[in-house]
Amino acid sequence: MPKSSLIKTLLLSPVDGWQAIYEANLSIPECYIKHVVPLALITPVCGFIGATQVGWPIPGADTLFMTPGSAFRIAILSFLAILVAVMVIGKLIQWMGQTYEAEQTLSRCVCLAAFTITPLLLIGVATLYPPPWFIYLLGLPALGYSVFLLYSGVPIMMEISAERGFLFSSAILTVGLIALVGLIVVTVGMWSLGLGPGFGH
Amino acid sequence: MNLSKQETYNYDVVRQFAIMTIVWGVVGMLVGVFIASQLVWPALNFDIAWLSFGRLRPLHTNAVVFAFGGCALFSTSYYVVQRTCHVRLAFDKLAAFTFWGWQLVILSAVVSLPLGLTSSKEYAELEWPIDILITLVWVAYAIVFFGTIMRRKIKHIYVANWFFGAFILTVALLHVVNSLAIPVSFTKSYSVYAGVQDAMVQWWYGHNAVGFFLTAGFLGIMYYFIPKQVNQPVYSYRLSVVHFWAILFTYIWAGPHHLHYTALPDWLQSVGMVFSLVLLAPSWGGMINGIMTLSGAWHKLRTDPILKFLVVAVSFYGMSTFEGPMMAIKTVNALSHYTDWTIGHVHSGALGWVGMVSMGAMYHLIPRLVNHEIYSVKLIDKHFWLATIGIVLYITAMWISGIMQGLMWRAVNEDGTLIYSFVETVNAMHPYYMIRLLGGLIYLAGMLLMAYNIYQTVRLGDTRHQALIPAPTH
Amino acid sequence: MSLQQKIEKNTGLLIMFVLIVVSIGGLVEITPLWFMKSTTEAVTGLKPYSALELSGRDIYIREGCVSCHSQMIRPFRTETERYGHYSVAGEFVYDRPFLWGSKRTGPDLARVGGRYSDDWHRIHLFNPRDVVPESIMPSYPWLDSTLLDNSDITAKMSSLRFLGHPYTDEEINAAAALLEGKTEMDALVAYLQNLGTSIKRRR
Repeated sequence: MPKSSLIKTLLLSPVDGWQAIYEANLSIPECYIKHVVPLALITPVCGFIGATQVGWPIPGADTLFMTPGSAFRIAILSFLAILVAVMVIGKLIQWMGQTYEAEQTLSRCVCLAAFTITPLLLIGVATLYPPPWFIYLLGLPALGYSVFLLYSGVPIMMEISAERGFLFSSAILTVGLIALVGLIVVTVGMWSLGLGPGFGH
Repeated sequence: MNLSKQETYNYDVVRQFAIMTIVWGVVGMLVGVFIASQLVWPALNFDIAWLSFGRLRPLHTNAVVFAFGGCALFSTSYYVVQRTCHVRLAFDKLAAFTFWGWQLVILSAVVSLPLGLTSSKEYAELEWPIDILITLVWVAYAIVFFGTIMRRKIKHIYVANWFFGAFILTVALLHVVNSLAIPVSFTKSYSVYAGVQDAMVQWWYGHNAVGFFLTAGFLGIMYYFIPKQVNQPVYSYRLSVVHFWAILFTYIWAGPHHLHYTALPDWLQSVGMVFSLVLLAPSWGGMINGIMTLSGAWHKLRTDPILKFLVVAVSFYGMSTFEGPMMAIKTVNALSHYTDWTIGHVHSGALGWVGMVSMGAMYHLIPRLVNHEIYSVKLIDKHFWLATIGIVLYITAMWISGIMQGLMWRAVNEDGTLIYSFVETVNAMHPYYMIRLLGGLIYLAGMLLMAYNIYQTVRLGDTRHQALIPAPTH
Repeated sequence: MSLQQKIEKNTGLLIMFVLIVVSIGGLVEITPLWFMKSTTEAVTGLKPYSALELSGRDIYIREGCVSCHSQMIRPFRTETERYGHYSVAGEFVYDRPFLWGSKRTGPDLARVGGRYSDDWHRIHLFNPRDVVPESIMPSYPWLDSTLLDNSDITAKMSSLRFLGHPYTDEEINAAAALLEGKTEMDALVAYLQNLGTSIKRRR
């Protein structure tokens, strides 16, 4: 099944979508080249355009823009962060598999991680309009749907019962939460090192 | 059936505390929602002194931590210590005193705090007469709890009781030392500590109120109710031993991370930061033990929404105990201190861990205390979803507003002048304060569902139910 | 039998070891603060709060101002630019309790003394939105219409002197009369106008 209809099926009919992904048995390079990399580009590209061309409207003042240099830097770093995160979480899923009697190949675990975050990657298009409230408004439902995809995907991809899958999914979610906090902290740390956003009008 | 007291557990005091846990939970969260709405619409202060934000905020914190959390700890610790020691709670009358005494403490708080009778020290606002009452109740609690352990019929003291015991002892120490003050009138006193010494003592207390009241104590709850709910033993005994002592030792040192870049000496800040980072390991010991124990119960999930509460509680525990050490890193703290990020962090721990593990425990406990199954399993499930959604809205709103505040406060033009006035940053917070309010409202709605469900369960159940102590097997 | 096994079978040992283990951190972190010059010496010229300022401080505490306002300027350029010289330990030796705060829902007040006129403070406290339209601070109209209760000022100052604040007999005896006819607003404004003034330089 071609890649774009994998996503379409996944989003519209998650169980069928996961089944198709399971059967497609993509290798890690295939998963990255056909899925992760293209989707991971959305947020950095749209974010860059949004930050430098659309900006943040300030009531009673000129619209605020990010300097192209800092926006480019952030775009590159966030693109890399997505690529790394999928691999790291895939690896952790494999590691935790032993506990749930769900030992799978690394490629399957990476695909689970990669396709789970599809809604979040797609909603990156919202960064074309940078004000946080807008991204938040669209991001939260996307997050919710990703979590839903996680819980639907784990039993299928990891070949375990729904009940075992629930607990495994919750463990993965915990890891995801921790990774998210870690990402926030690393970001703040980088800003303090001067790798942060620069602003101008 | 007329059973002699010697043959039964003391369920009376457990029941009393359990019911009040639900009551104070609703009250504390209601106050929280009210003050959150005041930050969105300051007109809700109504120009009335005893309704103003500054006076009500400590009422919220005291109600959720000491009234809700406190009653949860009393009820569960009394329940667990009896059932794991196979012996009735020691000193019935003293136990009753702890119940009525603690309710009196809470009522005194409800009256005194809006009146502005406060020491202003966080989570230790209650003035000296109430502090004395707290000490008396606490000493009684220790006597009842440890007295019960000493009378135990099982040789080994069960792990949950180590955590409860450590919580009781340490809170006593923290409370007495931090509350030391010279009274000038019945309603007013001055701290014996001043300035930087007061700050250090306060945050030695404050951080360990979190570490021992909200963490060690609730780990005690986890160590009993999770294995009980899933009908499996705790995953790793060795892990529980190691992380128990490690948490006890390490947590105490973490206080200075509340004082980064303040006038507290630098070396002390660094010590606090290092120990806060080290704390990650023993804290996660608890999380791992919890999750691994739960993982044995996958087959019960379909029919048991209580497990969902416990699973998610442990997840949020893991997240918060990671976020905390991260925020204790000085570089991160330079941005996060004084912002809403701290509030977000507190509430992920409070709503996510403390709240949900309490709810899970109470859903398990109360039907057993009144010998009647829960009125509605479906409502537990609905509550679970409301709680989770409420927490997510709350935390994400505060992450955004907090980081935004930190960034705006330090934003400078090319010539080094500040870009934003303070009130411009206040303005920027408004939509996130609204979302936070919504999150809190949803969480409160879940709690109200619980109150209704528990009310119906108790109404249909037997409020005089007693349980037999098993005969000794050896 | 390992030590852990012994402890698990003996309540007394459990209690003892718990108490020992939890006492260490506090002792190491708290005790030195009474023996360091930087944390025990007042900055030059620091005076304990006057009767009126002390009453004002107690009103600040009563109204819970510390819930939204910090009093601790950190040594960052962006902070000193906004609030003034960073705060040093020696400024707080007479602060019982300390009021450094944990949250800035409103701005830091460590050096608010002298920044605004008395009139500005009165209007602002009466209704913050009269001077700052987007403020979310509560209004405090009752401060203006409530006379200070001066019945406990002598006890307050005597207690503080007992704890080491250098009040003279004259100061303590004259206090109650000095507060006669003053409103709570007068006291709070006096307290605010004193804040941070012991360090005169801007940066």
